[in-house]
Parts: sequence; structure tokens; C-alpha cells
Amino acid sequence: MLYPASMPVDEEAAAWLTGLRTTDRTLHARLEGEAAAREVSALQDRVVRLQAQVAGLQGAVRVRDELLADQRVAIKERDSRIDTLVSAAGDETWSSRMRHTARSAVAVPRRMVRSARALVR
Amino acid sequence: MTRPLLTLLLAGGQDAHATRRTLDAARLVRARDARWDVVAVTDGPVGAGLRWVHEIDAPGTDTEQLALALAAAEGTWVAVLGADDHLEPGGTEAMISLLTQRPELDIAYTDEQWPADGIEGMFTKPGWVPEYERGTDYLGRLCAVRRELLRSVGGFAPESDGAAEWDAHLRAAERTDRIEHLAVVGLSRAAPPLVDDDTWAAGLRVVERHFARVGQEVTVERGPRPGSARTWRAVAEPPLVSVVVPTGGGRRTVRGEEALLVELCARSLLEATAYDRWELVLVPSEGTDPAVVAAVRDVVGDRLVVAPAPGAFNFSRSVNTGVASARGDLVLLLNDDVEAVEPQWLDRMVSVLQDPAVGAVGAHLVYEAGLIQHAGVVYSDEWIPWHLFQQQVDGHDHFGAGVLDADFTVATGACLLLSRDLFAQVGGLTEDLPLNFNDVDLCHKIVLTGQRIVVTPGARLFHYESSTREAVVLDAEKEHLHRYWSWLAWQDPWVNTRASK
Repeated sequence: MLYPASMPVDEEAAAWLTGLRTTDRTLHARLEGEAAAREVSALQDRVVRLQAQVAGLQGAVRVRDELLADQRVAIKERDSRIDTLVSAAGDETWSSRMRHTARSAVAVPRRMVRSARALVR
Repeated sequence: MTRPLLTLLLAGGQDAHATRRTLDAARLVRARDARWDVVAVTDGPVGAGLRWVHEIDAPGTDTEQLALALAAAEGTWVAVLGADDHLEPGGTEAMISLLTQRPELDIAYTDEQWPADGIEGMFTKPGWVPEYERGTDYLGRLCAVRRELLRSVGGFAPESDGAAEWDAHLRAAERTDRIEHLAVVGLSRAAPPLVDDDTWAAGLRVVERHFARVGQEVTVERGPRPGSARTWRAVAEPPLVSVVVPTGGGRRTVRGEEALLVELCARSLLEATAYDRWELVLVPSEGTDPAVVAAVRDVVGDRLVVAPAPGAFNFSRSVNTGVASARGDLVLLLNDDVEAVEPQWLDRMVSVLQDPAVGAVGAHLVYEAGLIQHAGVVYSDEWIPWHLFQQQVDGHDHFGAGVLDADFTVATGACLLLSRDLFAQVGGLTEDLPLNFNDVDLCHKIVLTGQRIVVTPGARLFHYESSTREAVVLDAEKEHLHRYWSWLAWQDPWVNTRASK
């Protein structure tokens, strides 16, 4: 296939290249003057997004705290029920072992809560 | 109760149990002073009895119920919540915090997740990248849209049934660029979004209507990912593309045989390129064997223009020299170690460039071993440009990213199409970066003009990267980027703080 447009002459190409360099340098010089303001604006936007993420994390911790509080109440009620049943059964040795076992199980979630709180803060 | 900032629209349909599960989950995560409420429209009464849930008993399609919910909503922003979706703890707090600090936003959206193997269900989303939304509704949920904006663009249109949310998101996004991504998981769906033949067809129609509204003549077909769309913009008169190829005559083994790379490149233009209107502007650097030019002339004949680049090697100067001699309205910057694979590649790139908002189009480049070399450029944790999915198996995609067209702030200059006018307008490749990052600088200059950079995986080529020189990045090159472009790097939409440092 033939392309009828004539090839740009060398002088035109050289002038075009010179124009290109000038445009490039002008553009970068302008950018340099604006860079600080643009960086501040970009960072401010980032801060807003990160603050929103922090709000989200705090919300998640709140929900988890509420769930754990509910679980503690449930465990306390269960301990109380265990005590009642054991007392009714009348075996002191057996009841102290049962209390120890039940309370060991409860201690695990408490340790996790403390660790998790330490991480978030 | 104080007027809510955000109203969640729930179209429950016939499944009252799923609606109750969603409301129960919402109750668990809701703070006492929460500034969001729910409008739940279902086919029958749910009876949740929650003061912040407005229940409407009105049978209908999902779209009809969403429209009713929107009509009843009072929040400044509204977002769709699906039946059996679970709001994630903290998700709404994060959203409310963002909308409170940025009340000018029209659209804000979060990440989301659903059950799947490993991370396959964890949809970590980029910032606003318009072309990606045209391929798949990545805004998804939880996506808050300004209520008045959504109503003004027609809300949930009956003809969009099957893809009503995608339709609403596209309609709203046509009217604003005040769109923000929030890198938190807003909700969990019970299952991946439903894709079947009906919903896929509905999605394609939604995309077609979107392009009709924005005045572009297109053909929309099924994309490579279920539910996705691929769009071909009409090219009224195929423009001449000047393919600018700097070369030093490098050689390497390709497919087991020693090859002159630029000759392979030229041969693929002739034999593996369906687009017919191109010329090859060869830019031999000083000291290149004349036999190299002769070899290329033997392949492309009178389509060859030779524009030698004198002096010490400076890739930017070479490319600029080539473009100076180009006769085409479009210029394709092409490395001599790139080889076309699929014949429609240049048609695809020219098609994407028909969008008046797109300034430059990049391609999907693959190593000979079948690993991804380039699918778009993103900033790394050290704020150095990096290739998305580099070294992943070709075809890798993250919810469509990697296989659907998407915007980036940079596409590699190894294969980059733009208009000659725009190239000149932004001063071409800066000669202050003779080796690396000159394409980064060029693309950023284009973004500065307000135009977009789109990478299209529909244009797939081999790239035998840095075959002929050592790929060393100098401190001065990094310094140049930091000096002029840190601000843009910090706005890279593909940097998701959930996935990076």
C-alpha cells in the first residue's frame, strides 16, 4: 500500500523536536511549582480515607466488645447454674474440680479480648 | 430520630427468612447513635419490629421493590443491601465517617466478600476506574449513591431488570466524578452475585444503553469473565497508525531459535495484525548495523520509514525522533522486543482510543513462558512503578482486573497508542529520563491533561522484556518521579490500603 503524504523534511522534524523539548520542560517547571500544594491535597485525601477506616475499626471493636459482654453474661449465668446443680448434688470435691474446669474455659476468651484491645489501641 | 445520612434499600422478594437474617445481622452491628436506616420491601410482612427499619409490603420484581424503597428513602445517600447480605462490623461506621467528612461525594463504595476458596471471595477493589465499571459492576455493594442524584437519573429503571444495580451505578457515574473508594469490607454476601444467561444479557443491554447515553457508537459482547462486557467502539475511518520502533538490533533466542528481535516485531506487524493502516517508523540508534534496517525493509517494504537517532543512546530521544517523522494521526510506541500474537490487537487498541476521554491505550503483554509481563502499572509499597500481576500466569484475574479494560495512571511504553497531537501537546517523552520511567512520566503528563489511560487485555502481545540491556533503575530516575509525581502516585487508584503497607 502506498501512503501519499510526503515525509516531513529534516528541518521541520528538528523544529518539531525542539518544540517538544520546550513543551516538556515548561510542563515540568510548572509542575515543580505546584507539586507541594498537590502533595498536601493528596495527603489530606488519604488522611480522610484512613480516618474513615479507623472509624470502621472502632466500630468493629465495639461490636466485638458487645458480643463478648453478652458472652460473659452467658458464662456467668452458666457458672451460676453449674454451682446450683453441683450444690444440689452435694459432692464438695467434685464441685471444686468442676468450678476450676469451667473457669479455665472462660479465661481463654478474656485473654483474647485483652490481646485484641492492646492491638487496636 | 435525626435524619439519617444513609438509607439501605433492601428488596427482599419472597424470602422473608433471608430478609430477617439480614435485619438481624444489621441489628447486631448497629450502634445506638447510628445514622443509617433501612427500607425493606418484601412480598409479604417481615415483622422485624425495629424502629430503624421501614417495612413495605409490596410484591414485585427486585427492580420494582428497589424503586419503591428508593421512593421511601430519606437518607442523603442510599445503598442497596441484598437479602441475606450481612453488614460487616464497622462497615457502616466507616462509610458514615467518610460521607460526614466528604459531604460533596456523590458515590462512595466499599470492598465486599462472599464465600469462596481462599481469597477468591474477597473483593478488594480499586479506586474509581471508569472503564472497569463498564466491563463489570465492580462498585457492587456497599455502594452509597446520593439519593437526589440517583432519582434524577431515573433510579432503578424497569428495563434494567436483571442488572438494576449496575444500571444505576453507570447512570449515576455518568453525571459525576466525585466518587470515592473506601478500603473496608462493607458487607458479606451469602453467595457470589448471580450470573446466568438472563442476568448476563441484561448486563450487556445496560452497558449498551450507557454508551448510547454518552454518545458513543458501540457493539457490546460478552466479556471473558462471567457476567462481564467487552465493548468495541466504532471506528468510522481507520486512521493511519505510525508504529514507532526504536532499535539497536538486539538479538535473543525466541522459540528455540536465535532471532533479530526487530525483524520478529516487523514480521508480526505484517502477518499477525489484522488492522491494515499502519506504517513502521524505525529508529535505529547510533551504531546499529545497517543490515538490521535492511532486514526490516525486506519484511515491510514501502511501509518503512527510517528515522535514525544520532548520538548517545537515549530512548526518549529515539522515540521523539520517530514520532517527528511519523505521518499517522496515531502513534504506537512499540519496543523492538514485542511481537504480536492475536490479529485483532491493534483493532482493539484503536477502538478503545475512539473514546474522546481516553488519551492513551496500553496492551496486555506476556513473557514467552506465558506469564504476565504487563497488565497495567501500579505503585508499589515503596512508591515505585510496578506491573500489576507481573509474573502471574497469563489469564490471572482479580474479579475481572487483568482481563477487562481498566484505567491506570500508567501503561507501559513498550506498547502504547495515542494521538500524535496529544504526544506533542504533552512534550513527548522527557529526555531527562533516557532509559527508565520515561513512559511513566509521559502517561502522568497525559493524566494531567484530564485524559485517561486505559489498558486493554483484548490487545495481547509477547514482550521479551529488557532482552537487550540490563534493567537497572538509577536513583536519579526515582528522584525524578518523586520530585514531580508523588502526589499522583498517592492517588493511584490501584493502591488499596487493605492490601498494601
